[in-house]
Amino acid sequence: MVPQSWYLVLSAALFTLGVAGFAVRRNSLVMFMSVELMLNAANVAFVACARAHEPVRGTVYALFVIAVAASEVAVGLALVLALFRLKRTVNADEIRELRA
Amino acid sequence: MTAVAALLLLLPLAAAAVNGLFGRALDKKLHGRLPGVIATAAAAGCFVLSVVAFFEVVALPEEARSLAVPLYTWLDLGAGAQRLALDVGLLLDPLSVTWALVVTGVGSLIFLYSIAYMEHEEGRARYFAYLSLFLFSMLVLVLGGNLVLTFVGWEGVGLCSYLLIGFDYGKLSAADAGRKAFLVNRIGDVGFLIAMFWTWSQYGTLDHVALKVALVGVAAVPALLALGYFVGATGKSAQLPLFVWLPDAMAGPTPVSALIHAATMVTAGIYLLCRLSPLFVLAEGVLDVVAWVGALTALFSGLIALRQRDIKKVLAYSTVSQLGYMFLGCGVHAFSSAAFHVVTHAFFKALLFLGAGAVIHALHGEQDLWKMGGLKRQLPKTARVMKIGALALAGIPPLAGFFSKDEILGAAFNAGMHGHVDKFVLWGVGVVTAALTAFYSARLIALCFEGESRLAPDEHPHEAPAMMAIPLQVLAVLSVIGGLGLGIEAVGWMPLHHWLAPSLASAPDGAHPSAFFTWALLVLAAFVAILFWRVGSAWFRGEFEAPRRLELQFPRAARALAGRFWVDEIYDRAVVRPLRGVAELCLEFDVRVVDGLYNLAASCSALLATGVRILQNGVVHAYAFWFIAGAAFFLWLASRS
Repeated sequence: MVPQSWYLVLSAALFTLGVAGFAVRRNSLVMFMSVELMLNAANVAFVACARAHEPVRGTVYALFVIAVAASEVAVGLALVLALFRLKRTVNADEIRELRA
Repeated sequence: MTAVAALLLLLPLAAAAVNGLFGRALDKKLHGRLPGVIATAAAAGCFVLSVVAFFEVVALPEEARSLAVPLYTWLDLGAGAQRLALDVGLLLDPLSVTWALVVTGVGSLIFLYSIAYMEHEEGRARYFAYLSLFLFSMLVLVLGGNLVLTFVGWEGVGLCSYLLIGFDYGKLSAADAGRKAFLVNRIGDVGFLIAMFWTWSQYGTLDHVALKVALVGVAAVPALLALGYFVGATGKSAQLPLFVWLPDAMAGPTPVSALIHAATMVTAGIYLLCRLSPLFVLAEGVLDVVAWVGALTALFSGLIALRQRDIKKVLAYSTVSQLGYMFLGCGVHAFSSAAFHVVTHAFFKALLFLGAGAVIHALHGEQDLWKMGGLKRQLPKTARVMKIGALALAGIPPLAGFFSKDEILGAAFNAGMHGHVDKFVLWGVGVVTAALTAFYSARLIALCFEGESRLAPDEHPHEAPAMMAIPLQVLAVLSVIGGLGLGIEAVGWMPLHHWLAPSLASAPDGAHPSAFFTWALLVLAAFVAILFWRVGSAWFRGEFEAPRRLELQFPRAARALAGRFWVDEIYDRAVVRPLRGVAELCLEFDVRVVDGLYNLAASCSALLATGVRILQNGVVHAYAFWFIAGAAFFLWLASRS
């Protein structure tokens, strides 16, 4: 039996990877994947805690996150596609529309 | 009776609404005459209704000739002594019906004339909408049963006057003239309003009939109260010192000058004096002020009229002068004589203006008398009717102006005979003005129709179309018989006076002049008028030798007359420029202080914003950095506790 703390360490590592990836990479698709990584890190933590404490509620949360992540991908990829059509690039540095 | 009264107001209002709302659609129908036909039909209908009202009032016994026709309750405020109840209702009595007959009768003729006159102008529907609205307002003014309604009509005619003076609003001078008329009239209106408030607080009523009743037994009316109404009247009727707007008002189309600025609206001041005559006779000394202002205005503008070049300006100053006569008449208790002069003046002055319009029409807009001359050969019909009008204005017997003017002068002389010696001076001023009137009337006719032609060589004037000629001929007939028909004091034939008597304050006792003086004054007036007509006629027919010599002999006087005594310039220096200075000061304050405060507040928040603004640079990673940093910060905060 793997102790719970290991799962949490894995989750934290994945999350840190996600954050780092989001902060460092310039390709918006990769940044997108990093966001997914963070969401799944959270899912790992949820499921691990659910097994240790309260099986039903934690698992349901994980399912919710997956659902939200799916819909977010639908919107997000559509945005990236639209941006690519407009700008011919997916490099986040070259897209600076949101500014004062 | 209610139906007649309501229709009398609704007809012109409906015509105004139709032309105003559907003008664009109507404008092209009937060769562009439909708007005019609608308005003229409404005006003629009003005239018929006025005649009906006239016979209704005549049918009543003499002392009961006052028919109040309430239409509906306008407002009913307060209770007890503080109660203010106002009806929208008409008062049909000899005074109001007389005015209504003149307004709608002369008005209909001018409407008819306008159809042809405006045929080739833009905005006919707008023109006739304003004209009908004017007729409506004027009827509200004269028929309104209380002072508030009279005031509503008073303001309504003022508005229409403004709109019609500035009818050609693309021309700056016309727009300016309209504004000037409006503003100068406002000064008078303040007096009217204050007097109205005061009347209500003093006598508890604003109803014409009730006010007359309330004044029975009152010993004296505050002089300032009556002066308030008088100030209103001087504004509307263009008396000193508020006469400056009327000559400028000639910027409007000529039929408008005939209707509003000669025959009807400008007599509203005299109507007010007559309507409130029971009040004025009780105000100590106010009628003397009225008489003096009237006489001086008559003389002053008569002098200015001597040397005007613009045909309409001559007529405008002569209108001011004749209105001065009417005020003089009111001032010497001869209210009915003043009303008589209003009626005859409406006939011959409308005739003169419409005739001038026909001349201007024939000359394609030329108004300078020095560029006319000899026109009786090309425009014989117009020349004939214009001459009749001018003779009536000059007071040549037996035309209309002679009898009415003579009556006013007779009343002034008579007041002098009865102990008010200063009235002899007024009479003298009146006689001098009569001489001036005859002189400039003759000059106008001589310059326009007699002598050599001074027309531009490519000008080929033609007679006015029938639709313009018919009103001229009707008015010419009225100018001839109007005086004879309505009153000859010397032979005791005074139907208009007997008719008006129940509406007006009665003259003081012993005011009836002796037959000898009446005849003597009549002959004198006729002599003065004929003499100066001949002089004026002779001087301006040929080579202008006499006037040139006089001009060289008295150059300063000549310049003062031609420059209209520089009244406009004096007002400009004394009133307009200081006010403009104050306005500029206010503008400066507004721009610098008021706007400055707002701009300061705005710049403060802008300054604050620039600090935060650099954070929002559009780089997603910068946002992410701040987001992560923020999350980390809160995580750290949470872990500390």
